[in-house]
Amino acid sequence: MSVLVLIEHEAGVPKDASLSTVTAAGKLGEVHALVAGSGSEVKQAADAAAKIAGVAKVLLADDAAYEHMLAENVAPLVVGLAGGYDALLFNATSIGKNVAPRVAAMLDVMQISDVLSVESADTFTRPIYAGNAVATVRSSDAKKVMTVRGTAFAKAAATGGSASVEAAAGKGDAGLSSFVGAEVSKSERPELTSAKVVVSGGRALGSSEDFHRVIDPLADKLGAAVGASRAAVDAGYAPNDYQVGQTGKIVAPEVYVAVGISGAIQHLAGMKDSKTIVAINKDEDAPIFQVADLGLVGDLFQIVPDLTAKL
Amino acid sequence: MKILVPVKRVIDYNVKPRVKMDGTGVDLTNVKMSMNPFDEIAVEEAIRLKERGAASEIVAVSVGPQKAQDTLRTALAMGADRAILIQTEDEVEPLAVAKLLKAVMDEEQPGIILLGKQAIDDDCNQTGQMLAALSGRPQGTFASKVEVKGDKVEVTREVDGGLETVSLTLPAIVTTDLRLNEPRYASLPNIMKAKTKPMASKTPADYGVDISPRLTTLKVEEPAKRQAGVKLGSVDELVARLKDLGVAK
Amino acid sequence: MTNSRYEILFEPVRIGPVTAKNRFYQVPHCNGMGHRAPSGMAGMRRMKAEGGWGVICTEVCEIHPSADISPHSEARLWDDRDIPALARAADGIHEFGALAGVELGHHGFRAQNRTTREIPIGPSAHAVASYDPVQSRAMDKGDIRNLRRWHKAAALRAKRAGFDLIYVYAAHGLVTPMQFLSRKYNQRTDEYGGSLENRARLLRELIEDTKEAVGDTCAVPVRICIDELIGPDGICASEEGKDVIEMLSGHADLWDVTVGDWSDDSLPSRFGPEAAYEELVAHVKTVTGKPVVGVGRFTSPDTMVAQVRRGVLDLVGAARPSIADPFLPNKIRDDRLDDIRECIGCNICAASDNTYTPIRCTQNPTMGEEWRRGWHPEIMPQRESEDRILIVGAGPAGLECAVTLGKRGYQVALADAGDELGGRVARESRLPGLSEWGRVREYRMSQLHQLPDVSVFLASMMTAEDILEAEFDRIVLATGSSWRRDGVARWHRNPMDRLQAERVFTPDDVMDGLAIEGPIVVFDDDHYYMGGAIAEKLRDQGLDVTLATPAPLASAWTVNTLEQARIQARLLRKGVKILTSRALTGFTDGVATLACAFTGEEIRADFNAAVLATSRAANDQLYRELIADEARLKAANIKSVTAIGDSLAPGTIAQAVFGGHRYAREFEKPMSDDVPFNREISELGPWP
Repeated sequence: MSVLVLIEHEAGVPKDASLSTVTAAGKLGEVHALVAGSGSEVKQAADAAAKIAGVAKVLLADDAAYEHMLAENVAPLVVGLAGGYDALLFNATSIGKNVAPRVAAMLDVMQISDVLSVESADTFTRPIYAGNAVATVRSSDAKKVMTVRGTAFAKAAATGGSASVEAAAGKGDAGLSSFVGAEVSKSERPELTSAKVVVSGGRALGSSEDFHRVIDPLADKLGAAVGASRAAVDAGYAPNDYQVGQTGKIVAPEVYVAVGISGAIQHLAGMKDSKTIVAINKDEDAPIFQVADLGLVGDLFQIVPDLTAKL
Repeated sequence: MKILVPVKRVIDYNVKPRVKMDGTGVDLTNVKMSMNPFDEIAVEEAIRLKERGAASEIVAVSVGPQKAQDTLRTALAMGADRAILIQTEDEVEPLAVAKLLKAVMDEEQPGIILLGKQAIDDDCNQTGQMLAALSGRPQGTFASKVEVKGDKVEVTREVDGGLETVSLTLPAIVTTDLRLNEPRYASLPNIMKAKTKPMASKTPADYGVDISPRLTTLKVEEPAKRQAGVKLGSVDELVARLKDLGVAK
Repeated sequence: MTNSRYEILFEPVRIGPVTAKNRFYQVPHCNGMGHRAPSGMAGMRRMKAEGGWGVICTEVCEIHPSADISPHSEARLWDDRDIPALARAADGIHEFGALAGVELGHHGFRAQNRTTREIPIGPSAHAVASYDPVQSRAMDKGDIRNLRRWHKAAALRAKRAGFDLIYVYAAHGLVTPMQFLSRKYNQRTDEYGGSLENRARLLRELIEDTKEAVGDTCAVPVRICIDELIGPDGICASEEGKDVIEMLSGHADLWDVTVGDWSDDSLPSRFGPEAAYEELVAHVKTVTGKPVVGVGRFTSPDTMVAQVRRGVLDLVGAARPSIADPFLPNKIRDDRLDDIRECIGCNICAASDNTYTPIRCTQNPTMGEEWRRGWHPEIMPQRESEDRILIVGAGPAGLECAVTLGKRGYQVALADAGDELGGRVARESRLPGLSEWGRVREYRMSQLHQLPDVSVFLASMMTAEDILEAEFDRIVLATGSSWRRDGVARWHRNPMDRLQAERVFTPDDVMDGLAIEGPIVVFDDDHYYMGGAIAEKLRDQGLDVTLATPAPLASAWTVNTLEQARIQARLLRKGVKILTSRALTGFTDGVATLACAFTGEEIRADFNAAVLATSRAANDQLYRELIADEARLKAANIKSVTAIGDSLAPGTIAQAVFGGHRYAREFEKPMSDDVPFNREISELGPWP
């Protein structure tokens, strides 16, 4: 079997998510990498992709139409190359999720989204119901199109490979869309339910003054939203709309920092889908440590200001 | 301009999904169902475009069982003008839904097709993009802002690392993300009034679309339990790990 | 399939000669039913056994007519004729494999003996704690021997009644052995007074007597106050509290530890969190190997587990959480944590006993109704028809009604004009200290999410026309009430004429967030929590606040919920000026006239605004409009239109929940003159 992976890159360097997708691809067959973009950076990216361990060939599509990876332009490129491949893999990132389904429909195949594991050439697992369940699915399509969840596969080594780089001809600009502009994330405090990082405080903070004095600066440093446990809200240390939990807000940020929160089940219900949970608590038996990926046992009044200063 | 808004009847987002012990799927017996939250946002956006004068008619469409009529009625109560139910008791994959929507598009000739970015049951995040491909039209996915400018629509998209704005020639497909708007409630008086709005009933066969699935679900299980992680020894270690995660500089 | 995290709560615990099947221990608590409504009391205890508690205790059980605390109605074992009533409770508890405990008690000088006319007795001569013109006399050795004999006789009767745990009660300042233990009440100079060992002598003797009488087959728990919370003049947990336990550790089979008086032990949520006394209780297990149980308004299974793991308690004690949810243990066992009805710490249960009425609970409308109305908290009778019901208003009455009808299998639409569910509960839980009251709303919302036949509609203001066109068979109006602006309540029965409308506000205005400038006078003729909470909220905003009330106490009725002293203390410490026995008689041009409640003499004071927390008017316009035209209702095929909750008559949240629940259970029943509940009639005695 042969597999084509769309490599995402920035400043000439392939992104980590793509290294994981290469690993997933390796489980299916011979891996070729497609690098699309424009200018000197895409050439650098192609050369770097050629060094990824496990990549047998790199296809370079250099055209101004691919500079911003517009799906209307990239999808036909992929479809044009798809004839030689049994599987087409994309990252489960905003670029991959945007392009892959367009490719799948053009090939009249179903896509398998957010693959967590490759069970065999045609069987994969993926999350459904917001990750509350995992489905094992088998595809009957001859060509497979899928997006791959980066955190589920180890990253392939960035060096060790020595693939050749070939030019790939594309279809250029489809004339349906154009890039207007981009904006890096704003610096003001993000909204709790959509923030990438959340710092939450519990009742251990002791007062409304201390809650803000300790939590706010850490949140500022991390560009995070501020949350609170129900006990902290009941005690009046934080306002109602900060409450994270079963009866408050449900959040699933990249990083959730729980400060002085014991981790009662109703709180966990509100943040258990966070990618990485960090817990700071003086009670080493606190249930939060059962789910925290990173834990620090100690006095939050010492740890948090120290942490804030060092960031 | 006409706006087409596909909506899906899914498990209510407040309900905790329970995986059946026999591994055949999530238990949906006697479970509350509602309109997919991302679709509510799409309906809301369509109504706002109409209120601003950018659209003249909103048509809601759903591929689903008889009960999906309730979902369509909610869309009508929120402000859609007309609804179409493409009735089937089978589970329909995004590829088949996209083909059905393409057929509806051909009939209705909308200027914008507004969909939720994904359904909270299958979490596929494909239908909008597939519809765009099948109809050969541009797509603006994960929209947090939608602005009609003449014969184009400018869509600001939520992407990893920030926002990106693209300009699409109409007709275009837009999929909605959470921050696009806060949908209005479908009030009971409006639900009652919606009973007088037209609701057409069709089947996939009426559109000549084969909806047989390409994927077979072999089993459905609970996810692996979250394991306890590591206890660090110092603040410095934590700082290093936060840097690894990319949230600290 | 218990979450393995909570398995520890389901481990059996040995208590003397008996074994509790799990760590869930319902400590003794009053319930207003007692000896006057024995089947009601037994039915309530039995329901908890069904709910999975390992140990269930009665309320205090009077052992002798010399210590009668009527009109409070507690359990009673004065002679053999009292045994069947208690046996009924013990049997009910045993039915589901729980252990039955009885808290024998003698109230010493705290018993006014209003019914029996006996002279109260205690360690030293003291005026009784209430203002009854009664004083106690100091016990002599003969009295002490008598007390020991009465206690032993009661223990033997308790054993015949079938109890597994027979208490010696020495806590809350309410009972004789504790009165002896306390330096505040015991000024004796004989071997029963002075040193801790002497003061503990009576307690030791009672424990030994009880063990000797029943200890072979029954456990003898001791309920003891480990800290009087009065500082160095009283028992302190780290000193005498610890010492007395160490001293008596060999004697008791279990230590049921308490702190302070009843208002401390049943700390309201407004004044303290879950597990408030852990630090004090933690001392106990350092000096005894016997099992220890204590309370802390535990509603979180994680907190319960932590208390056990941290070595604070062996058994998780609960009174109020068992009242709010008799099925708490089973729900934890079955991993149905979302279905747990959490106690909100409002103490309306305590108020029932203090008003000598059967226990009620804001969260659990079936509490106290298990026997007399046959209500089960978890099982609702199946629907009797295909009626579709529209409920207008999603406050506590509407929410409870919708949930209960939904559980019965009815199709329900719940419509509210606002953007959130909860009505007054959502608003009032935002007042200072009342945050936990929001659980009334949260619990019902979690239930609604599981009821697919109940549809919820927000932003749905319903007019009479909307209702008539909506095609429902029955209409329920749960549209709540609004605070009056005319001063009418208990002092003024007719609208005040000297009120300048623009400067007069209500609690609704304050909860709506209206900006009001001080200085403000809050006129409280409601006497429950609202006046005080509003005064506190305005004071927290930095405004100059005076609370005026015709009553002699601020928030006077809260003596029943055990909050009054703390409320007045908190307001005073925050700088709220309190004018008691003063009625607002006018407020115009920034001048308030306040009349003395006794002489009528008026004083004048300058304020910028007045907030009237007096009484509420039912929001019943929609109801009246609908019932005014019967023909129209008939044409719309509407079978009934009923008002519930505050929109019928404003009351407590507990009453609103009860009204919503009652409608849902009883709406199909035809109107009847029969007494709507079971009751027990006294047996006529011998007659010449």
